[in-house]
Amino acid sequence: MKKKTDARHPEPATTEAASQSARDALRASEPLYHSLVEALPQCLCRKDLAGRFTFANSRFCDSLNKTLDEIIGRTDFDIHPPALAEKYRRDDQWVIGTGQNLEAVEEHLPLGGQSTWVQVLKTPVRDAGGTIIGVQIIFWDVTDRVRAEEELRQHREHLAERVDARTAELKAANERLEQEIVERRRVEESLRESEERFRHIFENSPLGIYRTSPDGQILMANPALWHMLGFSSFEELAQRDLEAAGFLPDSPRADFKRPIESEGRVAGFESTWARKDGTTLLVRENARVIRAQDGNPLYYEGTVEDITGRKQTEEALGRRAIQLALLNDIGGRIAAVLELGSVLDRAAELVQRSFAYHHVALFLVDHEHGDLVMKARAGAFAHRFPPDHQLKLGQGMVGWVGQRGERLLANDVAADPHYVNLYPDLVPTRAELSVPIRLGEEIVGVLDVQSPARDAFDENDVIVMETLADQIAVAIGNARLYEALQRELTERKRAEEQLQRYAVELERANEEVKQFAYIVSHDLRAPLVNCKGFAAELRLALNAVRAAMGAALPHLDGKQRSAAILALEEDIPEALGFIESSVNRMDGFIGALLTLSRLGRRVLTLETVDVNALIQTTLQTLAYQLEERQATVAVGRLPDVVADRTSMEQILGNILTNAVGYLAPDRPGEIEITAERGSNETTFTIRDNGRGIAAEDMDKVFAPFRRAGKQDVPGEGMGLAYVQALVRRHDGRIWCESTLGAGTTFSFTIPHHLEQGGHHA
Amino acid sequence: MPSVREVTILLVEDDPGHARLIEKNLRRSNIKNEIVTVSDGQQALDYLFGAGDYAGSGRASPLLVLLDLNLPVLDGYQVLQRMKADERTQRIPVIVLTTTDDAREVSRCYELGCSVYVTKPVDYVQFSEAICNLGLFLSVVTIPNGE
Repeated sequence: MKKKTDARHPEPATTEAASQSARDALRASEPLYHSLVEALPQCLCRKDLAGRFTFANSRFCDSLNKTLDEIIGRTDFDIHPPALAEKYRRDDQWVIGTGQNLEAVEEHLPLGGQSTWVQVLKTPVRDAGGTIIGVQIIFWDVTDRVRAEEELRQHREHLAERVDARTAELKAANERLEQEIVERRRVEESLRESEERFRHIFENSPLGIYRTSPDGQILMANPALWHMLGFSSFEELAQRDLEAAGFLPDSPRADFKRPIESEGRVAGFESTWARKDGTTLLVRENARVIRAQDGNPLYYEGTVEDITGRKQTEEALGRRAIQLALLNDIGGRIAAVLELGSVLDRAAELVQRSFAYHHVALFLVDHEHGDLVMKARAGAFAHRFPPDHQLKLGQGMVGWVGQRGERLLANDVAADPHYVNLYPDLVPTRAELSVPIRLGEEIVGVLDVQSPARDAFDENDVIVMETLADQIAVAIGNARLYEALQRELTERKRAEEQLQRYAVELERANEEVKQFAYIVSHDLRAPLVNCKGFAAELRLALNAVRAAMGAALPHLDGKQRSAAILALEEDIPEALGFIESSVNRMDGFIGALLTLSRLGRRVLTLETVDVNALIQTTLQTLAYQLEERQATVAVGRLPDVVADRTSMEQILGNILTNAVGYLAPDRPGEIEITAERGSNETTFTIRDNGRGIAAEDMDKVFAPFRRAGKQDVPGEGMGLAYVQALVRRHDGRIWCESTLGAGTTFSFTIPHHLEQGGHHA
Repeated sequence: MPSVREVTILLVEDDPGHARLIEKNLRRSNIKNEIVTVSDGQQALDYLFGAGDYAGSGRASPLLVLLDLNLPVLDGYQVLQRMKADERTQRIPVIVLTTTDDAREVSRCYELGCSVYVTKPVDYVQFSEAICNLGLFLSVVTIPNGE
């Protein structure tokens, strides 16, 4: 609560009269003022310079809950607590001192009550002269207002906070925005740079770059691509509908779409495209499909490389590799296949397949008829030529090459005067290469390759084909040798087979002879038994007749008697004598034959034979004859042999008996026995200085029943036949060398293979 | 027990000369037995088994066979084999009388069951002696009674 100071403000008197009238008026108006003061809703009081209350309206008194009398003349120190009274006094003093008004809103905090706010207006109270004589204080409760103001302030503060927060947010947003703007600028900048870079790449890339739609529209294409395809601008290229044009029939766009749609990309995809002018180029693409949200392809983007040149290089390299492999292969096959037809067929087929020429032919020169004969062919037109297709030497390119022995290359056959197309409708050849196949100086044939493409052959092809031709020539040479060899072998084989047949026949004949000899010897014996038997019976009968005739003879006449005596004593005994002697000789022959045939049938028992000991035994049996002939026998060192002992005894015994038997009577006999062990056989040699054998008799030496020379030595003529049979049973050979009058040398061999014990005749 | 005299000799010999000489020499050595001569192996079997030409000719006397080997139609080996394979004839003594003295043939005949193997010597003196000896032999051997 504020104490108010009631102060009168006397107006300055301008004139006396005026001041009087003013005073009067003032007096007159005093009740009015009083009423107004009392009616004021504000509290009003006045204090003098000493701070004593000089006036207070009733509202003021009420506010202090005091009467006017209790207030007038008192000071604030009488009414208010000292701190408050001090403040009132200070404010009063400030107004008195400065002469200025003091307006303030002060809080009044009563004890135990709610604080109230009052608006205080302190003004100086002046006397008429204008001198400050006190202070007038007016105050009124403004609690509601202050409260409202406070609320308003608080509200305002809240708002301010919110504004601040909002401002901060905005500021942050702003900062972000600014940052974004910076970022965006930067991105834009880099995008711009990137775009520029991309554009630069796009514009300047040597690779073709494109974007196309699946339905074949060209959406983008860089200059490299349109240049590649022979167009002068993108707009011009964009006219092309890829579904309708740009791809060659052998590599349609479908071939590209299939993998890219299924895999999403293609890498290194190769296809053949058409340029604006219709020429082709080989391209390699890397492309990917760009899809819409729904997965449908929007467009294809890719890079394209014109690999025509590279492909050609690659092809050239590949071809060279193939060529080398081919040369090697054919070379290898030439070694393996010696039959000429196969070599040529194989060569033609390999060349055709490896080089993709549409026609390959191999001709061989037939010098006799002046023809070139197509021996092998390969390619699409191979079957169109008759199997015996041939050309005259000099006819067409092949004929020219076959005649001249020089290669001929026509990379445009239309322009080559030598070119003759025998089947123009069938063989659409644009380029042809014919190389001669030469074997030494001889032109043996022509290798001819044809291509549907002009300029198909380069120098490299020529070299390869010539090398191939050389290889084929070698093959032909080999095949000729082989065929000659084959013929020789065939003939030899035939001869061998013939020999084999002869051997079999001989074997059979030999067997038959053995069998024959055996059968004959037996079958001949049966009638001999009869001959002998009945001859003997006849002799018995004759004796009986002669005994009877002794008594009968005297009864016969002279003629009858002499005839009977002649018959009984001479003719019949003579006849019987011839019959018996002949039968005996026949029996001897048959016995010899039987012996011979048995030699061929006897089982040999192979064992190691001490030939030295065997010779000594044999010589002992011949000791008497040797003594008689004054013969000496020189026996060399004889190796043991594996043979049948009995056979060896018979062989050596027979030869030695012969040697001794046929020694020359006019000189001392000399017999030499030697042997030599060779690599395959041991050769025994028995040499004598006997009478020898005439050249014309040499073939009778080993024949049965044949006896050469003077027949003064007893024997059947079977000895050497037996010897030969026995030697042969041992797989050995026996031969005889002789000079009539000088001596004879018999040699025979016993092969070593008997030592393995595997042979049984 | 039947005596040798009752024994019939079956001479199987294709060579009629041989047959005659054998018979002569057997008679000369005092063999009185009946000698039946046939000239091939089939006839020999027919006689033995009462077949063919000999069908129905009942024959009760015991037999002895003089058999040559080289015979037409059926040879001596086959005759010998058939005889030894048949119960009716397997005990009949068989004397092989042939020109062959080949050891393999001799042993083959003994393997097949011949009783004696006699080689006909080419020399007639020896032949006669051999047959006479055979005759003497026959006069002393005992022949089983043919069933």
